[in-house]
Amino acid sequence: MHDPWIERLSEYVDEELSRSDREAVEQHLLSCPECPSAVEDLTAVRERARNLPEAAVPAELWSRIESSIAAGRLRSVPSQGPGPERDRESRSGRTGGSSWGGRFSFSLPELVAASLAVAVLSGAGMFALMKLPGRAPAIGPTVAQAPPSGAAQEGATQAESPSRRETAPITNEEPRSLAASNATLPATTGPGVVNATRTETTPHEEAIAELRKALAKERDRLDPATVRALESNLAIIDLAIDQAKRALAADPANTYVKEHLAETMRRKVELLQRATLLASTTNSEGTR
Amino acid sequence: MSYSGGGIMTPSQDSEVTPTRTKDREDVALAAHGDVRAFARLYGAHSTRIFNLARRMTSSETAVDITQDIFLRAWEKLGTFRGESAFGTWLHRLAINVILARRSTLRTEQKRFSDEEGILDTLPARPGRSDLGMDFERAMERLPDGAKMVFVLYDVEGYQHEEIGEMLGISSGTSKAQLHRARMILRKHLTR
Repeated sequence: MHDPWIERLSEYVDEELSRSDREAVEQHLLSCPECPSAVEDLTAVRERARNLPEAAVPAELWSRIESSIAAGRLRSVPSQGPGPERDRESRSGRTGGSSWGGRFSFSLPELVAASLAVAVLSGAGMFALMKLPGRAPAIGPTVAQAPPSGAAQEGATQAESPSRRETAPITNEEPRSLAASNATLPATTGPGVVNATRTETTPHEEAIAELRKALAKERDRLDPATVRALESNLAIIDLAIDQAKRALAADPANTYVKEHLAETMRRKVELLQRATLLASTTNSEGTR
Repeated sequence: MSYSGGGIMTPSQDSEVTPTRTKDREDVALAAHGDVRAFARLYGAHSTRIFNLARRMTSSETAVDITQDIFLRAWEKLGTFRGESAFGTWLHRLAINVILARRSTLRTEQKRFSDEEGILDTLPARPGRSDLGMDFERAMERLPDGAKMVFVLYDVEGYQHEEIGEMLGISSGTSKAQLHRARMILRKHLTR
């Protein structure tokens, strides 16, 4: 036989019954063989729900979000005046939509460049925050799930406005040395800035110089938006390299910094390789 | 419901101290002008709650993607935050909107799990204590869709039936019935 009160027991537990209904349920509980245990269980379920353990946010999630934001920013770098590219974007509705998916669209190389840059930056300033004086993590100890590091934050901010600093243009000029490249960047590390030093990454630098030369020859074959994205990301990576070199100069025995520097250089090589490959396999119309 | 924060915040967050709210508002203002570092701080402060909301209202498999969507949407919409409520409250409601908007897709994907509570019989009831929490959450994940939404919103997140009704487009009576249904299913996955 169906117990009519059993359907109201959650309301009873939640104290949402009227006074008369509540008294009726309480009267019922005195004689029902099933409902008292149901009340006990429902209360326990409610308590369990209130005290569920929180799962940790996957560590890579912030990087993904930051990547998307950075890619969106790079995509939205303003063109130099209302040129044909902007007109084309306007006609195709590639910018200005209301949803994230409609607001930005990216070519593959742009996404690759952005993701590489963000990957670099996700680790870039960790040592800076840990090692350099006068810098404290932006997120306090009460934060449950911090972004991967303060480095990512700093990098993201740098990524957001590449136009604020001089980037390394891909031109037919002789490729700049990294030191020259770094000289154009703001001294974001503040006090304690030291001169960058040569490290075991020299082979990378040689590869980078060669790739820059090759890429400069093919520059005109790349879509202008791709070139802008590439330049912005190279500047970001250069900044990360600069920071790593400064940190390494201050703490030459730091294995993490050494590894990070080597990894960042490797990523720069990878980005240039991809860009060079793209330029050599496409014509100026064909990347979108 | 004694602990409810008016369907806005969990107890700890409902009593959020002013400096936290002030810091959030400062970061929102910065982020709305493009400061990703400030947005990263907001993410750091709120991502755990949002991720767990997404995980519980959908599934562990889809929670990461949905959380990403939520924060990207928040990044886009920061300019619309007027500071009338705590940022956490605003973000939470935005998160629920994103999750609900994806319900139809998710419902199709999860149909095989959501037809009836019989699926819960495939989970071991009354497990040993070692996997108690995990089993309970797995059981929650496999609740029928409507019951799961209401259960998470009411019992976990602290919303009231009237608010849930507005969000889900159901009456508060239906919300109560779904809550009871969810609890009655989940009672089988309790250990004393």
